[in-house]
Amino acid sequence: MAPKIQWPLVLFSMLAGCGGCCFAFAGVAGALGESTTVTLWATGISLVLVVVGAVCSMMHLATPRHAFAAVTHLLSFSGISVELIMLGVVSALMAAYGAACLWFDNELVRLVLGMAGALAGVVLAFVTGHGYLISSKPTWNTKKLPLAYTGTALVAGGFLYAAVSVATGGVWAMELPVKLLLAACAVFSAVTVAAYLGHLGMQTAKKNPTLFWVGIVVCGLVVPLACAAILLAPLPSMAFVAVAAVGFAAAMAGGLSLRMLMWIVGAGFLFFFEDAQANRSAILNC
Amino acid sequence: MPRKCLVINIDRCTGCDSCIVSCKFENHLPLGTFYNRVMQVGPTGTYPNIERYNLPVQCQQCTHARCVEVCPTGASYRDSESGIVLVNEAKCIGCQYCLYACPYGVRSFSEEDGVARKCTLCQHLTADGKADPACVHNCPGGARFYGDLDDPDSAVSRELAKYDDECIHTLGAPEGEEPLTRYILSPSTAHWKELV
Amino acid sequence: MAARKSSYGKLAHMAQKVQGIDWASDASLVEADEQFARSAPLRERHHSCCHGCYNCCPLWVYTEDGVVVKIEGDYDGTLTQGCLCTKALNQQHLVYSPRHVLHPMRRVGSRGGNDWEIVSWDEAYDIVGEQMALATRKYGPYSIMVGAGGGGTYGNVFQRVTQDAIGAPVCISGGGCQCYLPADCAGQWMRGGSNNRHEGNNAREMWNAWQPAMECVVLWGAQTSASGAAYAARANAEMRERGIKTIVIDPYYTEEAAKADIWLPIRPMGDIAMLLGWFNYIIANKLYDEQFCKYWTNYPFLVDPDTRLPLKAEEVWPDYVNPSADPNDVYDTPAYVCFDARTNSVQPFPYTAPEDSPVDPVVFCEAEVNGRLCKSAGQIQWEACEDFTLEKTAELTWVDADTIERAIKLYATTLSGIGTGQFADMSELSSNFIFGTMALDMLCGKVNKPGVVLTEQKPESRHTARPTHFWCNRPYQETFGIGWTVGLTEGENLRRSQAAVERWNAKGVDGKAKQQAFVDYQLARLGSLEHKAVHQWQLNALAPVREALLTGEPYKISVRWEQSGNKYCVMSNGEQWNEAYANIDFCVHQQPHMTSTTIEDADLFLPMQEWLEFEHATETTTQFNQTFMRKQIVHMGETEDPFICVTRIVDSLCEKLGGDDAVLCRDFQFNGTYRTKEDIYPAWAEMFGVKSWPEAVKHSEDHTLTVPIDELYQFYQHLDIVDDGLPAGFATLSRKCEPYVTMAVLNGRTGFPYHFPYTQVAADGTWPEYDAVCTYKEQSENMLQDDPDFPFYLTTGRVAHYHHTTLRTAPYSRELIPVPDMRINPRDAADLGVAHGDWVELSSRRGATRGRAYLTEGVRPGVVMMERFYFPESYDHSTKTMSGGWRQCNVNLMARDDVVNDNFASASWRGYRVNVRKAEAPEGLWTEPEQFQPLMPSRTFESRTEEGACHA
Ligand SMILES: Nc1nc2c(c(=O)[nH]1)N[C@H]1C(S)=C(S)[C@@H](COP(=O)(O)OP(=O)(O)OC[C@H]3O[C@@H](n4cnc5c(=O)[nH]c(N)nc54)[C@H](O)[C@@H]3O)O[C@H]1N2
Ligand SMILES: Nc1nc2c(c(=O)[nH]1)N[C@H]1C(S)=C(S)[C@@H](COP(=O)(O)OP(=O)(O)OC[C@H]3O[C@@H](n4cnc5c(=O)[nH]c(N)nc54)[C@H](O)[C@@H]3O)O[C@H]1N2
Ligand code: SF4
Ligand code: SF4
Ligand code: SF4
Ligand code: SF4
Ligand code: SF4
Ligand SMILES: [Mo]
Repeated sequence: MAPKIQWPLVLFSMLAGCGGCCFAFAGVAGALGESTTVTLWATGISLVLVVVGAVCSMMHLATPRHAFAAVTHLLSFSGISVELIMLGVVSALMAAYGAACLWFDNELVRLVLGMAGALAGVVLAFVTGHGYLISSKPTWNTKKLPLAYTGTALVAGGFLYAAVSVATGGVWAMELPVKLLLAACAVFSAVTVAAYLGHLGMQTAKKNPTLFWVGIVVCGLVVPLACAAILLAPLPSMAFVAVAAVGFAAAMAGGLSLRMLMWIVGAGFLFFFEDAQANRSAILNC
Repeated sequence: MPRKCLVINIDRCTGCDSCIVSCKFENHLPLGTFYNRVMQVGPTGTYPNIERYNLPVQCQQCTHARCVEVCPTGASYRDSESGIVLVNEAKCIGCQYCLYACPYGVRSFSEEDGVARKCTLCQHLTADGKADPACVHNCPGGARFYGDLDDPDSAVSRELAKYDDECIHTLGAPEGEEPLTRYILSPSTAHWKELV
Repeated sequence: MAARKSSYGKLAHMAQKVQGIDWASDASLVEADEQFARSAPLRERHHSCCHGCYNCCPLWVYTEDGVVVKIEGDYDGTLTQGCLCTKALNQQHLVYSPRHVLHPMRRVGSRGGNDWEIVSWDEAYDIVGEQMALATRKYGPYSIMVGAGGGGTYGNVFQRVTQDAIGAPVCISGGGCQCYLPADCAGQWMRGGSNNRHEGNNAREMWNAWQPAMECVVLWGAQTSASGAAYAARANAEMRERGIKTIVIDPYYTEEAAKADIWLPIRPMGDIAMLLGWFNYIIANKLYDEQFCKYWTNYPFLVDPDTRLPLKAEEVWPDYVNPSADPNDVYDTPAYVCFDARTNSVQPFPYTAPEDSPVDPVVFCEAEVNGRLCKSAGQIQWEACEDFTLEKTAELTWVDADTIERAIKLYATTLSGIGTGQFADMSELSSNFIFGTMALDMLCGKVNKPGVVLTEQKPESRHTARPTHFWCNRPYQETFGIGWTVGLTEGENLRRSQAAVERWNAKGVDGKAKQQAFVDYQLARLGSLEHKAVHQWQLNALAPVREALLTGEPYKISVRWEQSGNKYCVMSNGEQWNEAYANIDFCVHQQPHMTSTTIEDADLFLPMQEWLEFEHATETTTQFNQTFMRKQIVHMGETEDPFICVTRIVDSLCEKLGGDDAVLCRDFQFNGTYRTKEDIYPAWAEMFGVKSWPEAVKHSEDHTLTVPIDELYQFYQHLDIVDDGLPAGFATLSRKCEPYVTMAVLNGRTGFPYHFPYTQVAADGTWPEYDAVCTYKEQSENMLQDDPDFPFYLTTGRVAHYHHTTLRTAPYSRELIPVPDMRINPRDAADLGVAHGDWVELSSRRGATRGRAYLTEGVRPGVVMMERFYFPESYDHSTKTMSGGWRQCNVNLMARDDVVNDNFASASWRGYRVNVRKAEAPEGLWTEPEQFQPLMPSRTFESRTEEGACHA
């Protein structure tokens, strides 16, 4: 018996992670010389994702009042407080980067903010998964989990950035360094997800076969890898945007599936109350 | 710090669920919410060569309480005076990490109030040492005992003293949680099953 | 402090819900607390005892401003030591339940529709009286039928005396013939006292912690940890801790079995074979108590092969002078006939102290008496068990021979006794089982001494005269001159009968006619000609009653006065009853909560008190050595005391008929009921030694009457020398234990002792011959048959959470056990493709129902077990299809009452063949905890309720 899927947390970690990583791509692209219009668009969209994600996470707490209480305990450095800290840091960097793009014509400032943002964005993706490292949950208690969170967020964020930037007239996304970076993220995602699945073992991972095959394997692994590979080839920009959008959608679905799987298999080693209700209080196979 | 907990003598438990219901009345728990449950372990074997026992479970008062460790606000805490793991609802933000972290799944979450809750060892009855927890008081088997493991004169220590070590068990704790709750089960009743 | 806070918070919460007052809306608990602090509620504590079942566990009830906020066990309960089971705790919900009906209601619309209007009590009594009078005028008093409650009822006496008062012979009970009646007879017939059943405060030497003597107890089909969920569970735990060994004979791996020293996993209903195996082994290996058998049982008596009665000395030697006879012809001490080992001849066997006996009787023998070969009663028992070697017993019971032998040896070589459960009363085997288990203890001399089950545990059990007994404690002999007091001579019984007639005559009533009317009324009990022991409790066999309802033969039944919970749930043949009850002209149902019966059949519903509202001093208020005041701690709406209700109904009937003389005997009613509380309070006050009952109740303290333990446990009463200079003996026909059940033979023949000086014989002069000793028998449908269409065998056992039909409206029970578990062996389940928690359909030759599979190795492959159930949500107004809720999961739809036990008419509600297959869940049942929200208490602050709010 596992805890119920906490949808707010599933959405939060995916949206915020994706936003953070999209922002990371924007930072990198900016450093490479992408126009501020483009990075600004990407940053804006990233910020929206992060904010929506943060709102989702609040929905997980029973009342918004609690979110403030959580803020007052920032320094406990528990999973939640680190998430909150990173949410704050990333949002602040996004705002600063955006302001820098709009009002400071200083490349160095943009570069520093962009690179810091890139780092913070990825860290945000990581910490949204790191809070689940709890010793009593063998299925969660592995660094492979936050790494897979990071990987799925990176690939989704990467595709999002690629689609948005090209759609808004960007050029760098169609250049090799970013394409390679995106492909690397796709591979990283595939590797970390596979590693986490390996940690679970196939039997556990396939607990919900549809989720496993359609959600994780097809949407999360096959389609993003394929899209990233296709994008490596020279494409007209409309086609590029279309493929990136498909990649983004698949990566989101894959990332969400992974997060759902985490809850579905998230049994502690004993889960008495849930088991009691489900099994008429019987432990039969002991 | 005292080590207060429940000791449950499975040799005496009949699986009647009275502890569940007395707890629910005492703590005004809504439908579907529990601070304790009673599991039927088994029967194992093949009829008629079988054995089984009842395993009442509630917060085990872990020495290394994961619920406390993960709590972002300090709402889950160990009371310095009684040594009991409790929830300060005023501080609780309802993040449920403690529910995920509890290795035994014996915490509950109040949707209505948005806070985590669990067995309090009936502190409102027991804190002044005058009364027993509701589940202990009403237990038809006389199977439940409450007190301080460190006090040799407590009800728990006296009950444990009646039994050999081979009859005294704790729930499995692979990550070294060291639950305080002791279970008494004589091999003549049934053999203790490691459930982890 | 925290306690107060949380309960205040709860109160505020409830108040908010109930009254719509926004007391605590925004306020934190602390603020609510302050509000309350200003008007601190009056917190009180009241002592009472539970009536969740008949076990009467003592408890404390806390109220705040009169509202019950907590129930907890009383630490001073001798056996309970503070414990309570879920049923007791749930009373807090039941009494405030939205389903607790608070006003009399008359049905509007059709039966089954669950539409009602509130009427006043005066109107209600008027309606019932009128309907009963109508029926009486049209068809006579036999046309009023009473439905009595079994083990869970608030009292059995008032139903019986009411029947006697109005002369209405038809009473059926879910219990009775199916519960305890056989044991009640066996106790009285075989030893003139208590029996070996765990109910009714018997079989409790095993709980003697003060002078512990018992070494081993046999729990034969008795699951006391469930059926005595609080006190017996507690006492059993203490008993085991004291080291008493337990032998459990049960097909199911019960709590008792799981903790037993020896468990005999018997084939269901293989018990008679098992008993005979024990008899055989014990007799063959001379493990019985020979001295006791010789002098304190009727085993050595030589039995007339034609009459099957023990020969009396005078029958063999007409001139024999019985040295022990009462010269005043009051007390009966017969002399019998035995084969004397000293003289090697047949000799008279007068009643004496063993050491004064002129003979050395042989227990197992045959002898020629006046040219006829007569067997000793012991010999008859031996021949009944002669074939039952260990091997054969093992073969028939499916328990291996070694385990059986170990069990018998442990039983026979220790201070021990057999305590029995009720399963056999639910079968054709009821008489065989109870006679056999009682006789086995007698054979082994396990009577009236420390460490045995068959002891008489009350101070009153010491005697100064030859002990006697009348089968019920009601004055039939004094009032009507009917019935035989065992232990008195025929002359004395006749004199008493005559005196009664004369008392009527003196009052200007034709005594002989009154007596005849009473006997006619007795003999009119349906099925009693074949099953004559139903008279013990004024009951009827079930199938003939249904037949009468359907055909009007032998007489029309027009009014049904139902005083039990839900017969559709506890009795077999529900569909046929449903059809039969449709012929009833008027049905009144009195209960605290509505049940399927209300929905299906009732025209008028009379709301009774839950036990927190129902005060009493005598009706089920005793547990072990303590008698408690059951107090009225709250009173909801207009709920009524059932004792007053029945009296008022008879008042109304008499008024409509034109006076008390119009019924059989109006005054008889008051042998157990009362018209007003004021009438009864003085008696109760006296009993508890208080000046005034209402005053005492107000003080809310513990007024428990306690029999000191050393007075409670009494032994060797039969050895007391009484006023005739002889040992007291037993209150039986022979003054000895009667493992050869002479009374059963006599009962079959004439209906003795119920109608003396009249007899009950068939028109053609024939009578049934009932077995006098335990004789091999199987259920008509048993597991030895090959029955491919119905490959499984069904039996049951209690669950601790429910008492018969009660508590299905208790949300804290339902969330734990929402639907009945159908226990099945995992290997069988695998064959059927059924997983734990899957729904299955069960069917028998008679009907089908569903249950939810609970896989457990605790049942033998081929056996399934399931408890009775019904669903009050089926007639919740939220339901799509309104129904009585008794068809979905009701094992009794498969049970039968067409084949019954000879003596007691016990129907087979356990022990029959069924089939099982995977099925869909029935529709509309609540299975998830949150679904039971509509059953949560809603009337905490109500003293009166709105019309319509008070029913489902
Ligand atoms: N298949 C199967 N059928 C069985 C059995 C079985 O084991 N298997 N068991 C049988 C046995 S042993 C019995 S005794 C019968 C019992 O079955 P029933 O004879 O029908 O008995 P109850 O349901 O106990 O009916 C008594 C009613 O009295 C009410 N009551 C209890 N206490 C109070 C009180 O203080 N005040 C008021 N006003 N009302 C009260 C309760 O609401 C309860 O509904 O069922 C029999 N049926
Ligand atoms: N919780 C609760 N307590 C109750 C009641 C209730 O309904 N609920 N009812 C009360 C009443 S009225 C009564 S009569 C008593 C009854 O009390 P018990 O006699 O203890 O009744 P059960 O538990 O129904 O049955 C006892 C045992 O008989 C076993 N059994 C079934 N078939 C067979 C068989 O063929 N052979 C043998 N040897 N054993 C068999 C069952 O497995 C069960 O363990 O309980 C009383 N107490
Ligand atoms: S109340 Fe006591 S006997 Fe009953 S299940 Fe709980 S611990 Fe066991
Ligand atoms: S059992 Fe669970 S709730 Fe109790 S102390 Fe341990 S971790 Fe915390
Ligand atoms: S739910 Fe409350 S008690 Fe539990 S971890 Fe979160 S803040 Fe702490
Ligand atoms: S100690 Fe109190 S809170 Fe804990 S399980 Fe028992 S009754 Fe419930
Ligand atoms: S055993 Fe019976 S009397 Fe005792 S608490 Fe339970 S329901 Fe009440
Ligand atoms: Mo019963």
